Amino acid sequence: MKKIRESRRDFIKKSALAATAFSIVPRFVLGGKGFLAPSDHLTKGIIGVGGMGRNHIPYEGTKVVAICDVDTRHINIALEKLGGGEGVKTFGDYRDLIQLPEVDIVHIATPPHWHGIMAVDAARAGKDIWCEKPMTHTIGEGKKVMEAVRQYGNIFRLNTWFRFQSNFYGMGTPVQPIKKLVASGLLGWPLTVTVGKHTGFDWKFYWVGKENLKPEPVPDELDYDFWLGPAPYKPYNTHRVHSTFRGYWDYDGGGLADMGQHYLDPVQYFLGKDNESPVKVEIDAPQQHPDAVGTWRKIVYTYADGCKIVLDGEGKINNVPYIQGPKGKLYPGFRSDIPDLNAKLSEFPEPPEQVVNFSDAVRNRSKFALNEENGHRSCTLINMALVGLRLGRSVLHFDSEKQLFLNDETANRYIDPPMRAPWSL
Amino acid sequence: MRKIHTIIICLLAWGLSTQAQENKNIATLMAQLPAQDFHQLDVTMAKVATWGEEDLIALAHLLKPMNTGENAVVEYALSGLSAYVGVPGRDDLRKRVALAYAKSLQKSTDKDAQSFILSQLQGIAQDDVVAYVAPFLSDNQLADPASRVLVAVGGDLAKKILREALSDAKQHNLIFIVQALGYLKDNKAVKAIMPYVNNKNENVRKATYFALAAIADPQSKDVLTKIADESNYRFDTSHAFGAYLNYIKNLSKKDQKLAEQLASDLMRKTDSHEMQARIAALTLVVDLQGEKSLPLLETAFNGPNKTYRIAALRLATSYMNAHHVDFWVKLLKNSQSELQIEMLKVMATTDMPAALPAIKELMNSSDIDVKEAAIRAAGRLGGEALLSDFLAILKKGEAKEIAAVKHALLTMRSKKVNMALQEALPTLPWASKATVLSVLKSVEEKESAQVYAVKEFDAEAEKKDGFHVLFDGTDMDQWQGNTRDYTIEYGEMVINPSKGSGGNLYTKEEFSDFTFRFEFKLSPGANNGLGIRTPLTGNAAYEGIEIQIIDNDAEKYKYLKPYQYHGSLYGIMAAKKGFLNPVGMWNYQEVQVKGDHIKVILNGNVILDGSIADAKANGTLDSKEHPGLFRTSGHIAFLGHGDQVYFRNMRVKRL
Repeated sequence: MKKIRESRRDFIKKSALAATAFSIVPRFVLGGKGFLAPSDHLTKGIIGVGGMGRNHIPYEGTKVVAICDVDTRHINIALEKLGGGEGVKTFGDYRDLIQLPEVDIVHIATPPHWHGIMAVDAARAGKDIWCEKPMTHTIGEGKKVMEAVRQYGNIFRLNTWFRFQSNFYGMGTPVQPIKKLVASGLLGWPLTVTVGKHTGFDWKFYWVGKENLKPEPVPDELDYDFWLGPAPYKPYNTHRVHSTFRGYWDYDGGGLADMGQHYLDPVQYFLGKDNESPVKVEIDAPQQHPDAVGTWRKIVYTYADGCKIVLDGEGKINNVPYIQGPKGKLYPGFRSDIPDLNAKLSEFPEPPEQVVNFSDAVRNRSKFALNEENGHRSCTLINMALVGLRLGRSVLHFDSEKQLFLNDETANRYIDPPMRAPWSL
Repeated sequence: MRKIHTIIICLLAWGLSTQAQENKNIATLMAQLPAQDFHQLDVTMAKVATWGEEDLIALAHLLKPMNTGENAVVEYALSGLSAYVGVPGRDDLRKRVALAYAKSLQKSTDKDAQSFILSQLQGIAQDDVVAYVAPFLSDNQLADPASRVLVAVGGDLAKKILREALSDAKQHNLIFIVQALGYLKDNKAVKAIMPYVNNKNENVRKATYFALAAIADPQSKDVLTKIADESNYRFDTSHAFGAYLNYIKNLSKKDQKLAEQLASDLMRKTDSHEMQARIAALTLVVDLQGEKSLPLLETAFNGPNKTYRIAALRLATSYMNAHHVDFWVKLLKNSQSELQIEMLKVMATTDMPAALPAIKELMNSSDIDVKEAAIRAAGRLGGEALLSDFLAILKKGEAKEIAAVKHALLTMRSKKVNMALQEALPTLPWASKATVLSVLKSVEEKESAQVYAVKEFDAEAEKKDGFHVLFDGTDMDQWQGNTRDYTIEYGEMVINPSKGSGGNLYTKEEFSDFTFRFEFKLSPGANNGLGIRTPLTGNAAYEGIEIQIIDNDAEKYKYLKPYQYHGSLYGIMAAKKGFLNPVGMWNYQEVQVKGDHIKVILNGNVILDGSIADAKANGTLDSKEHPGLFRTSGHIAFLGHGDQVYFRNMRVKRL
């Protein structure tokens, strides 16, 4: 461990040296009304420049001024993608990046076990935040992110977007008309939403971990201890890190955690559940290994008012609509058994407009459409199911307000578990 | 499958060597893991939970060094067991299992194995085992997992053990113990932790600040205030400032007055510092003072920059309700436009109809952005009551106002609103007319297609009409070819995808002119085909005629040519798209073949009706040779083996 620490310091020293020669891009000054950087661009620093983080480089409206990774190989590939990266500072420690005065927005594209800590630290450093999904690894971390963003006055967005743009997977339409239909009451209440292969959503079960991982030597380019961060120490194995980390409970939660917020955040939105969580989760799955994430067959969430979300892991739930209500059904492609649906819908209000441009949100200090609050609630769907999966609970009851499981202390120990020092929230 | 494989290998690996073989309990258990579902898991673990302590310890001792790569099944057993006994009402079992795990820790020498056992105890340990965990607090690798067990347990005993460990902590385990005492908010540890605030090691300082902030004892006030002052209220890696804010927040539960004092001091001290520090101090004061802080927030609304002003407004909006309507109305009237706009956005989402007159006044604001926000907010709050105001604006016909009204109208639409708009339409100026029409039509709506019901058919009547059953769910007697991949499940013919080419499925008889009726159900992205007049060999799409069966709405088929849509004669004649039911639902299709004339009716809609005579004479749409066009008879066939498709109720009538 000691050796790793030293190599990290060397790395930072080298990065810092490399950085000194570059000019500082004036950041968007918080002061002057409507003041923009000369380039008319906000600036961003990206933490985690593996495959996902490198996708953030060309995101519109912002200019990369700094990148950070605990793997020097990632840094080098990212620099290449940045055309050599002149003027881009590189770091091994995200805490150096978030303190740069010239960074406006911090992008967090690390594995999820880091999201909570990094988001809170970025908030403390006064940065606005663009965070990868799933928002946090535990329910407790999500609450801390909400508190921090409120306390330090930051603007936060999550990196999924279906509640406000793009066609929504198998639905073949955006979410807005679905929201409108649901709000109209034409389908009745409560509703059951089925999310699986037959309604156009694939749960990506290739994100499974391997059992019996044997210890391997840590590659020179990787600061493994920093990569683990708040997670328990486990000996290094190639499969734990980088493109396969989703298969391990300590860092993520398989296909459910990967796709869950893409698929379920819009459901919470159109069901009007942005400020609440289900009161029950039921799970059908094989027993899970304590380290390696496996697959599952079916997960059913129930809300206090009787609305349900059914996740079909096997693609076996056939012949069901996407949304089933007592008065009508909605199928993929915005098809319905309600005759003359469009004519009927024309007599109902459109959903309120959302703030969908993050640069504008940052400049105007507006809350983004998908922010730390509704993002935390949709992430809670994932994190509550992951606890049930890991513990083999076929049913868990949840207090939506206190955000704790009812009458299950072992499950509650997974809500906000202690972190490996010195990391804490 | 792989897991089952692993079990077998593991069982073989134990084979001759360990005690496992002698222990019948364990051998039986291993063969049942991993459990196939949670019920079976419960049944299995219910038995294990009653084992004697010796067996339980023996189970834990099956963990081998990680580099053997043989622990999976044992890990399934141990984690399954701890999760099982963690369920409420199983406290006796939990106690026994936790104790056995704890005892196994003593006997083990493998740190990875001990670390695993500690991680299990983190879920189920209570006071009864903390003494067993204590020795590991001094271990280099295990201090972290051991301290996390104690945090999970909580309570006085865990605290006491941690304090004792702190008294002879070394550099390597200090941070774990200090942080754990923080998690447990142990105020008896304050004095012992305090000296570490000046430790040379940054991680120790960080853990110390964290702990002192969490415990929030009044006596750490001076120390923590000093480190926050020294940090200049900026983020640093020791989290001095963040910890100080947490300290004040937590302190308020013990000494509200002191906390408020410190928060006010902090507001003053951060006055010329970075925006996030100022906002954090303000938030703290507001959280501590509650609605008493509204006057303070009113001052903050005039703060020096937008980030600060908007943050202050956002804090204040927790108190935006009917109870404080006078405050907000006054504020709305007297604020700068920037703040008015933000206020109006929030007001639009609250239930405060008493604010409506003030909002309506701002609909006449000279600032177009304020005006727009006011129109939107008024629409949301007032609904139909605002209709006449909005119509008046539309009659004036000013472009910017019309745009704002359009949005308001969209969020107000109802039968009454629609009718009023319709009625007003002739009286409106041209620019407003277009807007009202687009509101009435709501351009964002997509054409919604219908779902078609598949009706039950009258078998007797069809029989009299000359139909003959080709498949009724009971047997495949009238079919030949790939009966390996095409099988019967619950009365349906299903093709289960296979990699190897199993080929097509053909009727045994040949048909020349006929009507064929059947029902089918697609899986996402599925592709199959109905062959007519096909020979038993060759590519049926060319040697016979293929009528496409395909989920042509799937993303992967977005570049299909029209002559590849569902119902098309492949490469020859295009069918009309848009009459398939969603994937997973049954469809009913009838195919009529008579001479050169072919007709396809899907869910009651004619999607193809034409003659192949022209293609025979002048060539096909895909410009390929289709010798099948010239055949006058052949088999009916299903052409595909790569995707899952279901069929049922097939019947045919010769013409």
